[in-house]
Amino acid sequence: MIAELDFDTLATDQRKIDWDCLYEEQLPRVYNFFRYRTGDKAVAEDLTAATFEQAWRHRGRYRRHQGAFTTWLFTIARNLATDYYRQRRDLVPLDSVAPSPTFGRPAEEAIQRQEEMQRLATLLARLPEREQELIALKYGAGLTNRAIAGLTTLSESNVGSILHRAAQRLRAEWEDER
Amino acid sequence: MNEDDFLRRFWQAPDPAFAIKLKQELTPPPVITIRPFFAPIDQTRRTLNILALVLAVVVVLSPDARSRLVSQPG
Repeated sequence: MIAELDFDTLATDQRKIDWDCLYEEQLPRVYNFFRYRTGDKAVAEDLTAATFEQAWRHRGRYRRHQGAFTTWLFTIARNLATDYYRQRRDLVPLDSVAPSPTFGRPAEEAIQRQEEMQRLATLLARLPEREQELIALKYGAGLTNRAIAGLTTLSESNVGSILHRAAQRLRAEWEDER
Repeated sequence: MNEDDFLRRFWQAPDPAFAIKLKQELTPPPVITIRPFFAPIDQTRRTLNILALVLAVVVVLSPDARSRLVSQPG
C-alpha cells in the first residue's frame, strides 16, 4: 500500500523535484494520521506543518540505510502527537475539541463530515492509547501492518490482531450509538 | 461495509490552500535582487568608463584624430 520512499535526494537542491513528489505523496498521509489521532482539522494542520518543518530542517540527519523515509517521517509525527497530548492532558478534556470549518465543500456536507469525525474521535478517545495510534497509522496514514510494526515495538501479526479488535469495537460502538 | 471500509471513509484530502501554503513555507522561492541602475560600481570599472568617455570625446571633437581613425594610410 505504501511506497517506501528515498529521502537522501532531499540533501541536494538540484533534486528538488523529488522533494515535490515526496511532499505530494506524504502530506495527505501525515495530515490524516493527525486527523484520526486528534479528530480536529485545525490541530491536524498544525501538527502536519510541524512534522514537515522538522523533517525539512533535519533532512541532513536522515540516513537511507536506517530505514525508509516513511518510517523516519512518521517517527517525527508520532513524537509530535505524543508531545501534543502530553501538553493537552493538563489543559483540555480529550473530547472537547471544537468543530472547525471545512473549506471547498458545501456547508451541510462539511458540517456532517465534521460531526462524524468528531463522533469517531470521541469513540477513538475511549480506546487505549496504543490502539488509537494504530488506527491512525493504519487508516489515516495508510501504512501497512508491516510498516506499522517497523515503527512500533509490535510484531506484524500483533499489529493485525490489535487493529482487527479495535476496528470491530469501534464499528460496534458506532452502530450502537445511532 | 466491513470494518476497514468503515474506518477508511473518514479519510479526507488536506485543504489545497493549506498544502500550497505549507509547501511555500518549506521551500521559499529564491530571492532575486536587482542592482539599481545607478548603483555604485567598483573603482576599476569607473576608471575604464571615464577613459572610454574621454576617448570618445576626443575622437568626436578632433578632426585630425577622427580622420586618422577613419582613413588608413597607404
